[in-house]
Amino acid sequence: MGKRLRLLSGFLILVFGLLMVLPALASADTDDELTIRGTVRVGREVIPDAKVIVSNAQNIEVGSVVTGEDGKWEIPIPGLGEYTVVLAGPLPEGVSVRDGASDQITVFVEEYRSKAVGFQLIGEDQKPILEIRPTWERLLNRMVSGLKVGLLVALASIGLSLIFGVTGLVNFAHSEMVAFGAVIALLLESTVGLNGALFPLAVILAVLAGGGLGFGLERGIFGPLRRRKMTNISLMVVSIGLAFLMRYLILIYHGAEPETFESFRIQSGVSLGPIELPAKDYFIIGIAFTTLLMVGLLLQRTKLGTSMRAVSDNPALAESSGIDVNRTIMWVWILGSALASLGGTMIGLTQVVEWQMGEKILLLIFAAVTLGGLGTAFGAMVGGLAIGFASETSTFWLDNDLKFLIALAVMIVILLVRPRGILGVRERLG
Amino acid sequence: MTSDNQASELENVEAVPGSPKQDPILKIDNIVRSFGGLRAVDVDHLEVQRGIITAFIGPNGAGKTTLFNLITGFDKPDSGKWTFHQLSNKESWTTNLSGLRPHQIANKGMVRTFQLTKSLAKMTVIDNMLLGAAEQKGESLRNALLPSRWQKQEKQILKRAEDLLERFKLSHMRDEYAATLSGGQRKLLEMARALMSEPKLILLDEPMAGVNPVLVESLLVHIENLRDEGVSVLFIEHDMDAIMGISDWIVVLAEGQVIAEGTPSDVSKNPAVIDAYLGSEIAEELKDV
Amino acid sequence: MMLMNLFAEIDVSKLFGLALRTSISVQAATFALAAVGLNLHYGYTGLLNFGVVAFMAAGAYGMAIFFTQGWLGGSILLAIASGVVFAVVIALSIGLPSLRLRADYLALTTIAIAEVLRISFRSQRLLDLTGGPFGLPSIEDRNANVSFADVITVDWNPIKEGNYGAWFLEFDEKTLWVMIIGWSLVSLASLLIWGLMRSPWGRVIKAIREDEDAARALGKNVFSYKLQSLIIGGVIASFAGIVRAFDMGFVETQQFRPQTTFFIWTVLILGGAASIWGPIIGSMTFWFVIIFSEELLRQMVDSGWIPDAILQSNDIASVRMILMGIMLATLMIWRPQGLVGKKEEAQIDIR
Repeated sequence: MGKRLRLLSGFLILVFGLLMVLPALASADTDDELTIRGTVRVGREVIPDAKVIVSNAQNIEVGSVVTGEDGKWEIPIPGLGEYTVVLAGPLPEGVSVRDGASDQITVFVEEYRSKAVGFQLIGEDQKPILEIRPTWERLLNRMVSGLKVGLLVALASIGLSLIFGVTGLVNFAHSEMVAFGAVIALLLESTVGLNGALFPLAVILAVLAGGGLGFGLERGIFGPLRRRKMTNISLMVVSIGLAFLMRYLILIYHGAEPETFESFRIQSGVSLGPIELPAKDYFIIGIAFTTLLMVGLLLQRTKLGTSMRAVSDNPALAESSGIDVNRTIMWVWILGSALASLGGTMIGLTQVVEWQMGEKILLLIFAAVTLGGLGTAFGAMVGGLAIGFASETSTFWLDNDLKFLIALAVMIVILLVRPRGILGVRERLG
Repeated sequence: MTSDNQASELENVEAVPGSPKQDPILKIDNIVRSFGGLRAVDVDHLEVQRGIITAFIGPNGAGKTTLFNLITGFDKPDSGKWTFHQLSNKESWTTNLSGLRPHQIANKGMVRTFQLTKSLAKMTVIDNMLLGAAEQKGESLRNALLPSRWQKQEKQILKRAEDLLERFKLSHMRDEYAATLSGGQRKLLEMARALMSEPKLILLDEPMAGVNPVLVESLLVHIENLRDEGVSVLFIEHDMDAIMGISDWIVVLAEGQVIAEGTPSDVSKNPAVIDAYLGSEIAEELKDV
Repeated sequence: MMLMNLFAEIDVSKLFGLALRTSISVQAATFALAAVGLNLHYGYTGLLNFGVVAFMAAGAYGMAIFFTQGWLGGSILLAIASGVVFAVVIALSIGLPSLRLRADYLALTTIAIAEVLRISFRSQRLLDLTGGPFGLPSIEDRNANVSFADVITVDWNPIKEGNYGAWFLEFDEKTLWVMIIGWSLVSLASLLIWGLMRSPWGRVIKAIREDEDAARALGKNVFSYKLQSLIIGGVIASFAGIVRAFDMGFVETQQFRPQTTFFIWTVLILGGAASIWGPIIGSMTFWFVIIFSEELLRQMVDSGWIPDAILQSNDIASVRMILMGIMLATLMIWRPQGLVGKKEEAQIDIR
């Protein structure tokens, strides 16, 4: 019976999946549709692989796309009105936005026909004309960018997994820490003036603020509630309420406008062999990688890390062997939230800082954590890398709006086939 | 009367692990369950005699509860087969139980209770009881909205539930939430609830644990009454006095295996059993018996 | 002095009028209806369904796609039926594989499937079927005021054209008719749940919420009961999606973002899970409180009583979400039984 049921459900999912994919095989005929379109070019040379995002007047993203081989892009819009088009890049080496022009263009679509938008770009005059890069190079670049996203998702995921490990709570508010970190860093950069060479200080302060927020949540809300013997399911619902509270407070005080870090607007690419990325991306990859390495060492080599893993394994046993469980839980909250904040600032650096960052990354984090195994920090790292990499690299073949589907599909399949995840341990029965 | 007959049949049964019984209700073969490298249960052959009280004893971690979980379908064995039997002049049949899911096994007439009582705390005592009855028409979605189809049966079930509550001295708590019962009363409720389905074999996991001594006496009487009414009883217990007092047959487990079985006097004399419990207080108790 | 000023500025009639109007509106009815479905899932069976919108979207889109494609002659009744069938398919594809999982895993699966559904509907690849980001009916039809709702709200509307009621509680014949349909469905669904929960079937359902293993040990097929609960509750929620589509005249994926699920959770917890009246009282109270606070804030901001530095009038829409978050968290902590639920049944400790 169990096997038959699993077969049946597998079949259902397969059919369901195929149904979803089927229309994707047909080429969409969007000629008659209301769209915003354009060609990203510098002089007579077109630029493939640059990301273009369209948002409506309420700053809700309507669609985004990566330019094709011919530099062309087209994004359908829901109706007449005001839209903002953002060129998010990356741009090839030596290409930048012309002085006085912007990488953001606001347009009014007033009639039922597609609207053309052009960005004013200039190349370095001496440079030879750009050639279109071979497919494998572009794939490689997409994969490196996938690695970057994967590292960032991993950073953001560790806390969720660790907190689940030591307390059993699935914390829906965790992703808001990501947005919190980015917004704090942005605030420090633009308002306090920690820009340019001082920018690293802004990041560090944002990470500390994240850790502080984690401390506050555990000390002020979740710790006391846990001691009141509230069940983890109830606490999960509390965390959902908290997530909405945080998200919309960020909206009110940060605003709906997506912003970028002033010190790191559109950068031209830096080549490393066949790989060409904005300079900041190399740093982001380096920082994220090093941080993950350090977290790994912390967990394996230090006393605090050992107690974290011990409490995660078996709180009662840990307590009886002299570990201060509550103190360990507190440190897990601080560490997890600080890492999420760091992830947030890094994501803000590569993309934009906006109030919806948390909402957008929430399901990626859940997917990462379930894939790796809820409760294990290393699982979150592996899962985060895999999910980030898979969803980002998939855009090489698939529509951009389908990349979340990849992550969600992975998550659903893992939950069904192996709910403990790849690194999780099977629960002992009886 | 039945008990005397059944108990007398035990006189011819050899007191060795896996010995065949004259009228077995349950036969277990080659059941294995391991956790990681540890073989929690590894029983070659075991038969449980019908109509008597059989006790599973053994030191902590011997695999008693795991074995319970396996044969009631709450845990899956790595391998193994177990069957339900009826051998008599009128009818004789064998029903395979291995591989079935818990509710299917319960519906075959093998019902269990749990070590940590699972009285449904946020339901009333009477609702707990009513839930226990098997084959209720109103439990199917088809009939649920048509009370005329199930009200008559519901009345009969209610009558039986009230009788059982009376017998287990819980009538005064009839409409209270089960959460308000004491630990001992919950054990009683769970046992009474299991009886609602009129099981052929009832498995009690530590029915006396955490129950105050006054209630223990009445629990023991209830268990003996069950046997006298023809229900076969299989139970796990640590309280040696209770085991020696009411069991007709004892199966001793250690490290997942059956190391001995026999009547209480057989078992208390068996050196393998004393060994298994070596150093523990129970070893001393056994010598005293 | 300041306070006197405030009272002079506040339009009390408008404050109560708008709040009352919304608390009996179609919106409140659809939230109540969805909460009735969720109540069966979570309140009675203990299923952590974080994908309520999946069922609403299935109902609304199933109906709208069937109708706009003109399948089988484009009958609206068949279209509604196909929305319901779609919801059943969703229930099966959530339930068959995941009802054996632990409660929190079920929560993740349901929220993920709801998002998969929404993103797929929104995909440009399905433009011809779902209208992609634009929804249904198409922009042209919408501009020409043609909608799948017309058959229900115009052709089959027994109420004569005109405005009914007075004060803020004045409705045109279309709104009034959809309100009647909505609240009738709420009553019907509540009656259904009441009938089910007083039967032995309902007793098994409650037992599963309490302790699955106990129900199993007593011979109940827990998986089958959970699936039945998921389907019935899902179909009820799908009607919420359908009524909402008739009210608005169009469907769009924006209506089915995860936050809608949590609105409905708040409605249920506020009213009281595991009670028949909980979803109804919850929805009416929820909308009254939300609109009352929003309107009060708006008037205070407009009159300058709240300085711009603290809150601006275009921030007020966010206040709704903040209120919802606070309500959800604080109710869970201090009053898990909500307004009319039983305290004894409220504590959830599903594993």
